[in-house]
Amino acid sequence: MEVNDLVIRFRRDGGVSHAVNSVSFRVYEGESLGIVGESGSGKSVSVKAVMKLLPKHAKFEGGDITFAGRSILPLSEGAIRHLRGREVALIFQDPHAYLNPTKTIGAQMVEPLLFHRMATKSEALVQAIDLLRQVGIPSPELRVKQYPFEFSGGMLQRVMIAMALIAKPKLLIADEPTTALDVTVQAQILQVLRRLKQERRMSLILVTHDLVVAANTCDRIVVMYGGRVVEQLPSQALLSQSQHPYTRGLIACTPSVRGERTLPTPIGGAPLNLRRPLPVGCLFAERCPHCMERCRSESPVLKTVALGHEVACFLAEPQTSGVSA
Amino acid sequence: MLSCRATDEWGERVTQEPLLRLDNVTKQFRTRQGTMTAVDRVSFTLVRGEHLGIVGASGSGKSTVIKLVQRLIQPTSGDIFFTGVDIARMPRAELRKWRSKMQAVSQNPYASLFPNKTIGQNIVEPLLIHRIGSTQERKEKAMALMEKVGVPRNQFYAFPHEISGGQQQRIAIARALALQPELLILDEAVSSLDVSIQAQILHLLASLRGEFDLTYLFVSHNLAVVRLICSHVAVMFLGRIVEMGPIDAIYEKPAHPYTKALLAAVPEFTQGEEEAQVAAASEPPTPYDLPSGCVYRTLCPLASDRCASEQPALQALAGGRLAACHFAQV
Amino acid sequence: MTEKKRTMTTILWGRLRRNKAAVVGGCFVLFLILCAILAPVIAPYSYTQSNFLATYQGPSWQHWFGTDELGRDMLSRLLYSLQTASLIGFGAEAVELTLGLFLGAIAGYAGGLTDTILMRIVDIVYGFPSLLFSIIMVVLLGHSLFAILIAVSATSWVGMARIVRSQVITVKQSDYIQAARGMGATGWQIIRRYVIPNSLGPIVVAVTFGIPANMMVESALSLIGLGVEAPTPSWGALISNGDQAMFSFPYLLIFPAFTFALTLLSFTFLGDGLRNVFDSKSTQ
Repeated sequence: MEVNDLVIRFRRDGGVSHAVNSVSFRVYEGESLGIVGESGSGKSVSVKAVMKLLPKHAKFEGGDITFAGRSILPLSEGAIRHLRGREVALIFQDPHAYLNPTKTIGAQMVEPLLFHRMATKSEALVQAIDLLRQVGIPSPELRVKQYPFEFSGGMLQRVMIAMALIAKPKLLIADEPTTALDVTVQAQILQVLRRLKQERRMSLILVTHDLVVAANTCDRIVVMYGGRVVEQLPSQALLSQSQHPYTRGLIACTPSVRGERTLPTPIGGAPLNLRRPLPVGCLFAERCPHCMERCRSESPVLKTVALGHEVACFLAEPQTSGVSA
Repeated sequence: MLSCRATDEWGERVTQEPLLRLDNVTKQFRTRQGTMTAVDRVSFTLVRGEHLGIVGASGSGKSTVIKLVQRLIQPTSGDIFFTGVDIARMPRAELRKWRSKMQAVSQNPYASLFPNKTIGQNIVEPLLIHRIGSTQERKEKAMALMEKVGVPRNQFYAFPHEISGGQQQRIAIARALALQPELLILDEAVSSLDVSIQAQILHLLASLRGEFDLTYLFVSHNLAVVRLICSHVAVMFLGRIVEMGPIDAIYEKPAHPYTKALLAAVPEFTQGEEEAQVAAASEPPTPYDLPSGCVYRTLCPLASDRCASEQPALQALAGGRLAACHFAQV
Repeated sequence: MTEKKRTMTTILWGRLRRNKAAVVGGCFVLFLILCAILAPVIAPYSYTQSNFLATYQGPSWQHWFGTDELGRDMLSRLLYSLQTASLIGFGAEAVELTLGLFLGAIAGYAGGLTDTILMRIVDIVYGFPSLLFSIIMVVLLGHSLFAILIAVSATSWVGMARIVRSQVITVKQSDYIQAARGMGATGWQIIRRYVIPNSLGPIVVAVTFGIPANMMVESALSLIGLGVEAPTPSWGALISNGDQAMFSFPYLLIFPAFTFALTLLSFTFLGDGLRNVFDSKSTQ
């Protein structure tokens, strides 16, 4: 999967919002990628675009998305549908909104298999039960006969994961899958995701506002701000080697339950208002503690500072040593 | 902040009248599915100048506790003493007076601000309700408060939907401070904010508490955030307090297995450390049909026969802490 | 921009002014109201004055809209029919609004058993075939203006009651009402300062759409001969009269039908504009 120079704008009420402003990222086979950003960073829009799930008033203004070497943008609705579910599966923040309340979990799980004619009904049900067991649902034989309202939020998110995996996709996209869940349940779901990715050698894109969650779950991290990628680096390098002031800022303002009890260092200012015309130069300049004159006139491009580590900042310096583990 | 049983360990503070004291407060809701106990015999004491955090998962009853404290709902049984007065069954008209001493900031600042009034008028509103000051005085006070929370005075006539989420929360805080309350109730007050903005609001809260002589009652599911603002913490599970005490002691060495599980589940930058052990999946018990004995036993790795037959009471441990577990020890 | 004093009212007004269709519609509605009020002053003839020497005259300088089978001036009759329509349209809406506000607000604010009982009544009335019910009312009460006013509003208040109730419930459950309670506001303060202003939008829109709907009902009644008693002119009567002579004297149908259509359209434009005004989140 590869996304290149993607630009997406929303037109509504006569206004334009610059949701995604030239975003590029790649996910390799068997790799997990965390896309991190605050609200309005364009992270969710970018991945929804991957599956062409955006509303009608969203316009692709440039760029390209390829999946397994094939460009997605020119594909017909039918071809996209074939791709969705079968090659690429998605899970979202609120499982209730995506499950049919009047059908049993089992009946809904086998749907993609029957839809793509990949199995008979009884075969599909066996697969469904097996998958529910894999995502950690106790006594799945009984649970397939139950309705969504009989599950707790955490269990339902597990069902969503199992459902997404039933057609054996090559890529799983999870958009804030644990945001609505309690912290103990979040830990369980993330563990399930990590394990399944390992076992099934599939690729995973995890979209989240939580840098810690992304760092603990994914191999690589893309940090977005104002609809642009500001830094891209391996997870292990995040704490020690991240260079972009925004990434550093995010790390500094994340509170912890361990260590010194000191208030986190906030990033000043407010997030970029994407409904206004974009400022010239670096989008983070206004909130950046290291802002220079150059940042206000010129937009920094991503430059490679180490293997698999790119930063969009004029202050970024190449690293001499390799990535430490 | 202690239950009655352990007050002697804080000798000096006992003499002072506590700002807020809950005594065996229970709240039950009757619904179509039966009677649900949202809050079950909760007791705690909050002394002026201390800051209590209430943490727990959704459905733990923490939000119900603060609705009870605000008397937006009436307790089924138990007493709520605010500045020494029992407000649990006080008639509404009389309650008005006490409410001004206790103000709340909610999770969703946009929804809690009056949409038809400018942000300045929003701050003026509580003063109008209590008929305090002249028009000019009220406006001056609102402007001063705006400055205190870091919103420029010239935004007085902006509407809530025209400012950012962080600004909205600042205005909600300013509005809560207008009546000069002693107790500020923070209901998930930073949960809906982006982490960079959240840090700003935490700084603001930390600076205001000294300046306005505030006592915080902070309800949140975010354990890391509670730690930064509060001196004490109460951990709730299915309507009961399972552990409470000074925050540092509890976060360093939780005594109750649920507190342990909660703290272990908070995502942390690991830096190559070994991953925390994650508990196996299982459905938590429903509040309509609580298990016998300890409410946590169906999820607890330590559960024994005793936990099923005997409900553990909050018992005092060293360091002014309380835990409701048969196996609790520090 | 935000340093100047602003209130929600000025902002809503500014938004409405930018909506051209709504402004045109609103102006026309105002014009119609003025015509109705000033009908006795501006009408060139009395609406009853017949002239058997000038029956079925086409439009001319003496009779702008022509004359009817009794030689009565059509322009004058149309102006007076506007008076009837406005009286019924606004009057019936006032009755509906009073009933709807009162019952809807009580049901929404009190909730529980009160709500259930009131809403069951609303459901029952809602089930009546409204036009048929109006016809029965007119037959029973006679053809006076007052009887028709009652007949028109007898069933249509339930829609208003439902809108008011749902608005009140939405507002009542909102966080800012909780906040107001927490500040120590009294029940009356909450209703007056927050519930009413914040539930007004959809009610104003409903009223704007309700008035032409009432005019429709009145015309329908007149069309089938159950409207205000002759010789008081009414749109429905004029149209039904014109309908009989449609081919020989088309102007008898065209003028009343055209004003009628234009009136309904103006109200629709105004109502749509108001809806956008209240829905919009932008305040520029």
